[in-house]
Amino acid sequence: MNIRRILTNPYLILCLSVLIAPFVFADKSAYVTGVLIFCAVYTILTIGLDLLMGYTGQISVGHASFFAIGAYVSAILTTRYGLSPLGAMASGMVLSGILSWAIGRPVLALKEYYLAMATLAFNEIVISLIIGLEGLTGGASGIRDIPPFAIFGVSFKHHLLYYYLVWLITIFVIVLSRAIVNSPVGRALSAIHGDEIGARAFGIDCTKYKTGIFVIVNVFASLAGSLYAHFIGFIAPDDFQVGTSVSLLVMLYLGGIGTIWGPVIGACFLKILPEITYHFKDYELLVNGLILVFVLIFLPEGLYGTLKKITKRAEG
Amino acid sequence: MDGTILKVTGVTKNFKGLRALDGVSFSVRKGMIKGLIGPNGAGKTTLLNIVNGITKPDSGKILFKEKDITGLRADNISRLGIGRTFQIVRLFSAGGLSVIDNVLIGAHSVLNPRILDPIFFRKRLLKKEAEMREKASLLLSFVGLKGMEGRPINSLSFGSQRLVELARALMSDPEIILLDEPASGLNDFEVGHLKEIIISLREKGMTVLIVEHNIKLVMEISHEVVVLNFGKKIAEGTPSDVISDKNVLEAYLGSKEKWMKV
Repeated sequence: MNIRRILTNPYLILCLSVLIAPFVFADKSAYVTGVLIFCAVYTILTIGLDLLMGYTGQISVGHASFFAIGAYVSAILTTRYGLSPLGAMASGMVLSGILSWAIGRPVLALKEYYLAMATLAFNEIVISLIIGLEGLTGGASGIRDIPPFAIFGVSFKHHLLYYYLVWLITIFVIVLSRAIVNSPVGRALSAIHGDEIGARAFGIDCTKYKTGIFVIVNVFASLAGSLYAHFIGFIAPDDFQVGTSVSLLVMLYLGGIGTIWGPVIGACFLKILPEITYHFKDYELLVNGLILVFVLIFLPEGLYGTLKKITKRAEG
Repeated sequence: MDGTILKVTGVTKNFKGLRALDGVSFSVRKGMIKGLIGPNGAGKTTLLNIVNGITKPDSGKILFKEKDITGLRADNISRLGIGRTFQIVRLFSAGGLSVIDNVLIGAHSVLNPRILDPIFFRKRLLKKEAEMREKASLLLSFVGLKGMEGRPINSLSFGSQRLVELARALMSDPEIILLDEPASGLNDFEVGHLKEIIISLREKGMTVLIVEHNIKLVMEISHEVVVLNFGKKIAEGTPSDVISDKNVLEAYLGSKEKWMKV
């Protein structure tokens, strides 16, 4: 039975998939790696959302805000101030961390629908600022010619190389997130999710943990933004609208909330799905929608929960 | 000091015109079981909520070991050494927490991990966690729930859930434990079991402030009893004094005849 356990180890499955995926569709490799890089970027974002919503129970309908901030800090610092992509990425993460810490306390004092409205409003504010501060951000037309990623002069211009780097970072994010949730901190987060007043009665400082997790997930989102900007080379406000935040929520529920692995599956599924359904041409959106509705109705535990059930049944 | 651990002085609390507590004062000595009784709506739970910081009083003071803790936040009060259980069980089921996870939440103030500790100080944290896990297992056997560690919390009977709450409250080695109607919803057998547990706590020198409707239980285990009625203290003393107190008989039990039946 040990062999089966090794074969169903999520890390092993993920690493192997990441290694071989670009070669499965060798004919249009550059395009395929591009899609797979987006999968990684959205995986990082969705895992952050899972830490915030699935574990800590704090709703966010504006998770794209810090995705935008990371992308724009990277773009502005590299194109206008000649900073290295690595330095720009780090600056974005630091700025996002400080900003989330500052707004985290007042925003997370809100609950449920009010919190949803506040995060949604924050997303809108970020977009308005990007469009308004035209001199800095290029306004509605965005920023172009963002340099490819590089670490100490070693360029990751080659798609395949960048693909492996981005997924390596994603796996690192998974490891960190799982370390947090599989610990007394994760237990405290679940307690906050369940009953904040009860949690306080056992010495859990809810404000501190909620703010802390908010900072972490927004640093992740900023990281994803930088990785995205340096890959695509051109960013515009449209990439970070509330619609993006909503599709992150769909990825989260699709994959399975509160599981860390669910977001990986959900993000990849939703990013790859259009590449398959585009064969339906005019009916693409319809087929897309039908598949989503089917999954959400018939697989309420998400794709990960369903897969887990199947493997468990096979074992038992 | 005469060994007073908890001192409540002149606590008053209004809820939109309803006077829930009206100048209530009493004190609890170390190692004592103090019963707090009174009819429904007398303000018993409100008083416990004020002592452990869930509710803030309008006036009055709470002294814990001569330190003024009035108005402190619940998480800070918990860390000072006041444990509690709830009238309506407050167990955590979100995220699929198990029985032992719930007990371990009681050890949070002992572990008190910062959010990045699981990454940067993982070894140290998990070592402390393992010690706490052992302690949690011991406490679960103490309350008679050995072998239930891994069960989902929702799968336990109501009576067992109350015992999980008790084990959880004991995890942080509190100096005083507040029990809010621990016997409500339990059958006679379970009440007997609970009584044994509280008596063994008493023998270990634990200080307990217990709110309870089961008068028989309170009278059997308490050293002293405080009686509240409509937010006012109407009597205080040993169980036998309180039972024969005229105010208590009239205000709390209605008539002597009814009391005789109990």
